[in-house]
Amino acid sequence: MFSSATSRRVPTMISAVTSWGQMPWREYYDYGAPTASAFAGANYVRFDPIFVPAPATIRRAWWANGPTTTGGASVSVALYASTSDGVPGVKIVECAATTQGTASQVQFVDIADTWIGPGSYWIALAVSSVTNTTFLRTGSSSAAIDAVASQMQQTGITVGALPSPATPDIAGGHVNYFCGFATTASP
Amino acid sequence: MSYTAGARAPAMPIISTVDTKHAVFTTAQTIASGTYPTAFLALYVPVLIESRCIVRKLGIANGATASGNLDLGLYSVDGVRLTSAGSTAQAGTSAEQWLDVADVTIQPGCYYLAVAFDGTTGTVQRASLSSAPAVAAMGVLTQDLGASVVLPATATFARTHSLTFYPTLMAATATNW
Repeated sequence: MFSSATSRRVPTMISAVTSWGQMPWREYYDYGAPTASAFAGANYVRFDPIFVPAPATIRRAWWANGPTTTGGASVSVALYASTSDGVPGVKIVECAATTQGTASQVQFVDIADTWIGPGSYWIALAVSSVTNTTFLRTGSSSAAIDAVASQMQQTGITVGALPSPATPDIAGGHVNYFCGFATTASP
Repeated sequence: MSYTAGARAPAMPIISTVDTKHAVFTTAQTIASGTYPTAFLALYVPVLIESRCIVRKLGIANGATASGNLDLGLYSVDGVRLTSAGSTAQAGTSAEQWLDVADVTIQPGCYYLAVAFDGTTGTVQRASLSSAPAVAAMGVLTQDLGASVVLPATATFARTHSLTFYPTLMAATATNW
């Protein structure tokens, strides 16, 4: 039997915590297990680098809610191009600002189907409030990992209307939130 | 100076849900024996295939207790069953169990290695990510098979956000594995 018609060399869930992520997951074993915590800041966006090795079409943005979502924070996920300096630059797509929903579930938001070619990108997670709002994340307290993690941040942003281009700073503390884009329309 | 091209074949004879070349799963978690989470629940675990290969066997890393029947399969990202073993008694403890399947040639792409059990006594070497929805966020999909352990010809994918069970599944490309 031979099969080729429907294969795409892309994962269904693109994120910093799946196989295209540029975080040093596999090289270091002092990462903690995924856990939930409050977001890093209000009206704050965190950027994680990814490398896309093959063309892909992204159809939905997603993030993983923690057990507390009663704060009703507004959330968005965006994809940024990487500049020639290797930092987040022009915004490619952002989902609409969406109220954080069901606890302990992956929350999806449709976006206009967007084709992305091979290259470096940044996934951005923006949240309006840190009160009674938790997200699934992992991370490490290792200074070595912090040094190579290449995470960036920007404060004072508006969720759903993230700046383009971004003007990010280096982010301290190595935390990866579970968020990204799906290449499938469902489930 | 001589030049030797690498073989146009898989770099490893095994494709698995826990090796860094193929797995979408990237958190370095402990793999240990654990009971299958739900009878007649199919788990579809994504793997990325970088080069054309022929899948000749499917395997599972059994845990400390073997019980009941299982099925193993390989699916396209769109849910088409490419090959499967059919209902088979789980056999062997703390060891790999390999099942012959109809050979299938696959191109580079994203595929699902699939498993179903007819009970919750049998165990599998698995990662347990207790903070849901970590496994769902990795792209692991599910399907309630009703009262059958046989994996369907066409998957009807669902996402179980509460799933914490990430199994060790394999496919072999070598003829003598």
